[in-house]
Amino acid sequence: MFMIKNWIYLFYFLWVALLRANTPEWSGRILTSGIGPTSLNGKWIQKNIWASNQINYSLHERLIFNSKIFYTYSDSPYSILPKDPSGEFSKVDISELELITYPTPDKVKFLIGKSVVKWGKMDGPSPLDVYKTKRNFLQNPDSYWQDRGQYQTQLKILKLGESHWSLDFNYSWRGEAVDLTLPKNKIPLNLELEREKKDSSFLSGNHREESAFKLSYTGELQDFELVGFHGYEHQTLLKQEALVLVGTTPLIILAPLHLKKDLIGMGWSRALEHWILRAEAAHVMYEKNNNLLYQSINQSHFSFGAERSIGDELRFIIETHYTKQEDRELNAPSNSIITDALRNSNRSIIGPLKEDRLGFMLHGFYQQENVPEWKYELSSMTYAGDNAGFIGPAISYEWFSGLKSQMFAQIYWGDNASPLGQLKELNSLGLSLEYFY
Amino acid sequence: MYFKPIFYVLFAVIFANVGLSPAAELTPNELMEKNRLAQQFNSLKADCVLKTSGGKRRPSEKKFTWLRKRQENKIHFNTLTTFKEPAEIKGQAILFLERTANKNEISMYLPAYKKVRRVEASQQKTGFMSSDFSYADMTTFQNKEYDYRDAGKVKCPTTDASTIDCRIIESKPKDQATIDRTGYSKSIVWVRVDQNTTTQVEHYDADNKLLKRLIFESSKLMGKGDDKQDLYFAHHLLMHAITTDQKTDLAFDTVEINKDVKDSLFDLQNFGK
Repeated sequence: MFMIKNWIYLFYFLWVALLRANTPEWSGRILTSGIGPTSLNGKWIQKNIWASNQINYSLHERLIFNSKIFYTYSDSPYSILPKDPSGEFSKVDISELELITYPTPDKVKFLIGKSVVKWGKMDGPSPLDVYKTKRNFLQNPDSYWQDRGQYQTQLKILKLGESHWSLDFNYSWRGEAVDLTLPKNKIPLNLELEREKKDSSFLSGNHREESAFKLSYTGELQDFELVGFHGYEHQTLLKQEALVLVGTTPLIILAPLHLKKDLIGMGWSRALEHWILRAEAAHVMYEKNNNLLYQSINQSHFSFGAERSIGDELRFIIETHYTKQEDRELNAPSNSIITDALRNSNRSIIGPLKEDRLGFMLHGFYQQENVPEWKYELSSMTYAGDNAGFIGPAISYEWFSGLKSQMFAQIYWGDNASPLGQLKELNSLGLSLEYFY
Repeated sequence: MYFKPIFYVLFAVIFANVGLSPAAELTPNELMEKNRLAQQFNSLKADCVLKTSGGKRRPSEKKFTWLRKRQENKIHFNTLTTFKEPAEIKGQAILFLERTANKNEISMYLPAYKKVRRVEASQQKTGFMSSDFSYADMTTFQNKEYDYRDAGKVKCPTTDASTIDCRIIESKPKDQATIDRTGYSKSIVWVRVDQNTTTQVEHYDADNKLLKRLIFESSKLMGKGDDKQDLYFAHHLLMHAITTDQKTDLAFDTVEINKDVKDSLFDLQNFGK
């Protein structure tokens, strides 16, 4: 049921959209979509509404205020744990809220607030995006704008000249909760959520302090960056109830897990005559954890990507991502393992060992010059070892400036235990209508 | 004794005639250098409207701010365009960094992704934001990359300068790299003699077929340059793509020159976070 409060939220965003002429630098978008048929939850169509409203205001020549509010409604067959283990889901949150100042414009920049920070060079998942802000439950090809920020301060020192250098220091004292997505009809009755003692919001482990730096060089036709991070990997831990009474079903307890994480990595990109090349390498070290399920694990990531256009009409990106596991004894959990465990709660909740992973990604756009209102898009990803993958074709049509509709499909395949293969039940077609203001 | 003044008068007349003869006209290279100097702003800021129409496509309109600053070498410019409309591309920015030897750099900031993306060199001849201007058209043309030839003198072809004389200069790139970057094998330039500014350019493709015609209108005196030369700026540009019969209208409003513009605005690292 579409509740009254959802209408209130929707009215707010429409009201802001209509009033934007009186308030400088307002912008936003409202997106509604229907996805079906879904085999989960007995519903043929799942409905989603997302809306964002952004204010960007120059308080002074050297002081900028930026804020973004985000509204979500979904009756998705997937639950967003732990907020809403059943029923429809709706909420409003602040995605970005930041002050940016330039004390000495060509030398120092300072930022404080809730901010989305992206340092990775790749189009696909990048270990250099050390502040993981992305929502993980939305099902739409274009979900980048739905990122949530993390509370932090950033000091950027610039050295301009023939070649540009910059040095960023980031310190974060609190982040957003890491939501876990699970199919509603697969959540066992014996699942309980463990709440942290010091924090009322489940899984908001980013309240722990994190820090990072980035040294960037921009030269002729190429740039390079070195990134370091000291913080946490926020995961979910499934554990069985310690004390089980005879004749009762043991509880499965879902608890937050914050693995200490250190990262050192580098990124590079270069413009050639016909190609843009990108590369990344990173080494990640996790702490030893006494919990039997989770031992230390070191990973090395290598990514390479290339992007080019053919004429005015076709643009595509190809990327390959390779992750080498340096400790194969036991591994950190993934959503697939958790999901699998929940679906089969009588099975062991220790998942299979992760192998080294080699993934390929292709993302292409096609837009005819004479009919730019039609746009064709194709996203695909596959992992060599998993025999699993995803392909997502989409066609969009712009009715007039600011209003467009899109038809898209999402097709997953592969082993149930793999991150992509487990989503096979979500294979569906979708229709969306989007308004920009 | 009366011959002496007559000699002086004759001497003066002869040299005056030399001064008035066609041979004293600026050479094509000198004229194009004056043409360059007439646009040597230290910085320029404007609000722009880019309208596309004609051909088979649907008319569209985009609004953006234009910020240009001359580099320390006083030859090249850095240009930043930040889009305000339509809403779908609001906040998107395109940065042009001019370099020597056809190595101009173009980068885009995509606010939805919070990432900066470079544009490959071969894309510089494609349409700037789906218009009939190419990315290369949005940068300044470097005289030393071209050979110039005098192609005559006529009344200027544009309506707002139709009573003024124009020199016609044929411009050919000196090397293939410039042709590859711009997509133009030859350009015919009409330069009005009173301002040394361009009123019209016709660009030809590799097969020597007329590709585009660019008209400069509403040229206004903006102030004085470093060498006390007059600085002019055309507030209205009309690009006509001949083969497709598409048109793009680029209008500049609230133009400000030589204001203090920070270098950090043209820094890639400053776009994202």
